[in-house]
Amino acid sequence: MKKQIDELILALPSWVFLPIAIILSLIIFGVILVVNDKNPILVYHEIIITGFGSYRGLSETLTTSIPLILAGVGLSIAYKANLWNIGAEGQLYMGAIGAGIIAYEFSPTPVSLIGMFIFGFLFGGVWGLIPALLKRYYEVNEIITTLMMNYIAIHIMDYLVFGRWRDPTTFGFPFTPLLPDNMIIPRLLPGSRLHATVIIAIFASIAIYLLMYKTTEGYEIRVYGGNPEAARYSGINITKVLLLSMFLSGALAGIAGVGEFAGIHRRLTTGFSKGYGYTAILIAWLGSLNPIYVMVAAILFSGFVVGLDALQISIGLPFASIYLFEGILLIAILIREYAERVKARYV
Amino acid sequence: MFEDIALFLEVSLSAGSVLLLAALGEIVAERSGILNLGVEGMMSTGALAAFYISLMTQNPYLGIIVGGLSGLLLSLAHAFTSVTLKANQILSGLGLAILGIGLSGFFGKPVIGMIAPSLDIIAIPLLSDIPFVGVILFRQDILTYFSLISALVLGYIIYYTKLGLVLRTVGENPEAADYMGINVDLVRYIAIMIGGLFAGLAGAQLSLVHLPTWIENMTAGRGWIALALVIFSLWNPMLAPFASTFFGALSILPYYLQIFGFRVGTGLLATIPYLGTVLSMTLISMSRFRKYLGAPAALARPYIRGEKELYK
Repeated sequence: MKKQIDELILALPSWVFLPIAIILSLIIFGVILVVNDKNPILVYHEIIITGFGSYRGLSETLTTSIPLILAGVGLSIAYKANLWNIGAEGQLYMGAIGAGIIAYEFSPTPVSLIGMFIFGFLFGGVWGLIPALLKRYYEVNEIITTLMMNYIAIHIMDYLVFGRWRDPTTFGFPFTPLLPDNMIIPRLLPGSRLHATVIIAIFASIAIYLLMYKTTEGYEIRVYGGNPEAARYSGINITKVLLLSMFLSGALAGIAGVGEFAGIHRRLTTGFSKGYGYTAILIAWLGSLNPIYVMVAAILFSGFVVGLDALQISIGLPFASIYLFEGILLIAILIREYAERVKARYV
Repeated sequence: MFEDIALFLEVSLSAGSVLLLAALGEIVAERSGILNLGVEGMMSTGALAAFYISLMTQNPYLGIIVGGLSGLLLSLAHAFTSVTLKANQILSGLGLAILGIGLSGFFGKPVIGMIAPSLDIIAIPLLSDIPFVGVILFRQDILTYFSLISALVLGYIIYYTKLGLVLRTVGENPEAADYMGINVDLVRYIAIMIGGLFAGLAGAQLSLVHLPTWIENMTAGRGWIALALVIFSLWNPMLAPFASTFFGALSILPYYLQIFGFRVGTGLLATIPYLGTVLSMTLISMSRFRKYLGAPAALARPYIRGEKELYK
């Protein structure tokens, strides 16, 4: 049995394994839908129509993809360096908090919005930098620290939203005041929430692609990720690689947080990110850690999310459906890794 | 005052017991060289399954069994990818975590907010009359007792039996274990399943003792804290109860401080368990004894006969 599967893998070209994983996930998810008395064909058809088939749906898909592109591209830098940053969610929250400091602690100026982006970038970056420093100097495992720092960031946000920054006019609801007009990220299309951060997201994907594949720093990050020992002996500055990749990873998630804050909600609330930081992990791997592919993966996956979101209301699919599908897909893309190893063994 | 402290420790032990169960299972898995980040998902599924069965049959003890088994069943997905396919354990574990949260949210929607029969506190006669210690140790629910006994039993097995030696060899040096005729893959499968069982039981304790209802995301990150607890207790089951009680105490501290009139925002106090985890991990990593207390050498490294290590 195993031998036949390995022979089949050898006969197939490398690029087919990702589509196979996606189709397999859709089938498994479809079976769960059937068990739950939903028609999967109808569901998938609706998802495509809603997510991609109309002006409204498509613009909503692009809007949803903004935080996923930014956080996903950021994560792809860390993962290329073989650093397991699970903390994009917290870095995203810290980005929003950084922007909030400009918005709520200082008096407004014409350049406040720019300041919000800079602070968001720095706060997210520092939140990524702390686990990198702990790893570099004390060999603390970054998986657990980045995870724990998610919860710390979320609770700091709760503290601010329930306390210091709470809007006194909302009768006890945990909201901060709405941002004044000059601190809101402009929207690009009529009748749509698509905001200008999408331009930053596209620019960031291209810039990080160039950084990773056309500069010495990017080369060093990739060498370190491929083989830390070899990197050490070849004289690559390990400290620089670790700190740079984790700072950028966090900073991009921070920008995503600013976009959600000043582009979508226009105020801070509890639970203001719908787990974008976790979804971005899947996005980074779906895009094979290549920033350009990550961008494409984020847009396609966002369409699925938008479609599924609409179905929640119309046919009563639970909100958790998206996590269910995400989990299945994340496990399924490991098929690709298995296939790559089988191929490597016989080359 | 004395009674207050006893009560605080009693609740800490109980709150920490959820973490203890999950951490014990993860210790077994990691001792075999398998990192399973999916604890949160297996716990979540266990919590729903236990609650659901308890609600349907009105028998919470049946809920415990099904909760544990559901965690075990889910862990098989991780076993398949990480042992059979030799795939990346970090991604597979994350997938399992998200999958478990999704599964429980998906199938738990119809029973949100319902109340199921919960587990009773069993006061052990005579022993529970001992002042202070009796109150803390012998007025708990059955899963807390089970977690404490398991810590001792697993500690004994890991350090003093042949079975434990086999488990540790597989985790430290799978090549050597293979030469000795040990079936590395089988040992890892079993270790992962034990991890799943315990994570499921931890979930059951959550929905049958601490909060006898079902709400989405009720595990609230405890599965991730359990992973930190494994490191905090140096992969030693017998140290885990102390660590888990400490973490349990940290998690209930905010409420107690409020009761005693400290006016502190809940938001920042709620960061204590997470901050404590990061700090304690740093302290352990800084310690001079690190190399004697460190992780199993083959942790998160797939074993493929005849192939040198692929991951560092």
